[in-house]
Amino acid sequence: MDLSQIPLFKAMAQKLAWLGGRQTVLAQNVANMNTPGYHGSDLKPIDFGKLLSGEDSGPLKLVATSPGHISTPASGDQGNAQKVELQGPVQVEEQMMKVSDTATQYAFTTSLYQKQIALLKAAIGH
Amino acid sequence: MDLNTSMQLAFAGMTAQGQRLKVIAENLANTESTSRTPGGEPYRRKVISFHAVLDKTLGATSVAAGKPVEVPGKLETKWDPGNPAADAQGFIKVPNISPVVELMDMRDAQQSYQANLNVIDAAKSMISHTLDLLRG
Repeated sequence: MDLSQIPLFKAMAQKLAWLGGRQTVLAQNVANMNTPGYHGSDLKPIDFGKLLSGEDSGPLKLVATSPGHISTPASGDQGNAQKVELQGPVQVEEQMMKVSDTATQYAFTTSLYQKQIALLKAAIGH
Repeated sequence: MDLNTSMQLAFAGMTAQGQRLKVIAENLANTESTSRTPGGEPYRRKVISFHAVLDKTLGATSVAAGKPVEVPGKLETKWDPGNPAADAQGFIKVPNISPVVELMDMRDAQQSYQANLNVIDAAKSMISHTLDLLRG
């Protein structure tokens, strides 16, 4: 049985990867807190509901924020497509809040994962 | 792995803040350091500046502290004819250090260090949650 074929597990794995990536971006911001001229960045939030329904599982695409935008195929530079630059210097309080939020969401997702595994185990009688 | 990268970045931040604190300690220790020769230059306040550097092995923007640089500017003088550093008129040049400014800077460095520690804590808890998945 391939767990990654189950939409929920696939979505959770993607969510965990996103949270890990976000933590790296936040660590960058905090490390460069006192660097003159440094602008913080953050990852574009992902929609867990869309991940679950499989709508958002394909390669990353540019978001059309206006009806006039022409939809583009996913570019090669996917790592940066998700990143959004923040304006102004890094705010330590805001970053700390995001860091703890990310850690909490990670804990939540991992325990959800465990519960689902337990459910599957119960179903196969272990 | 992403979480290890976060930790490495936080370590880089802590190292940079540590270097900043070292320079602050230097300044505070030398608040009274005058010249050894008559009319000579006393100790000058040093500052350190940070810059963002792309760490190619991590694939992320890390931080590095530059070399400490002396702060230019006019130095204040004090009348102290008995001092070996005094010039012909009996004046000595005193360092351009204000302990209050240094203390403020120290607090700021401390706060930044703490913020990096928090990032490490969060990354650590995320890693341990991942390992907990093995227990089922």
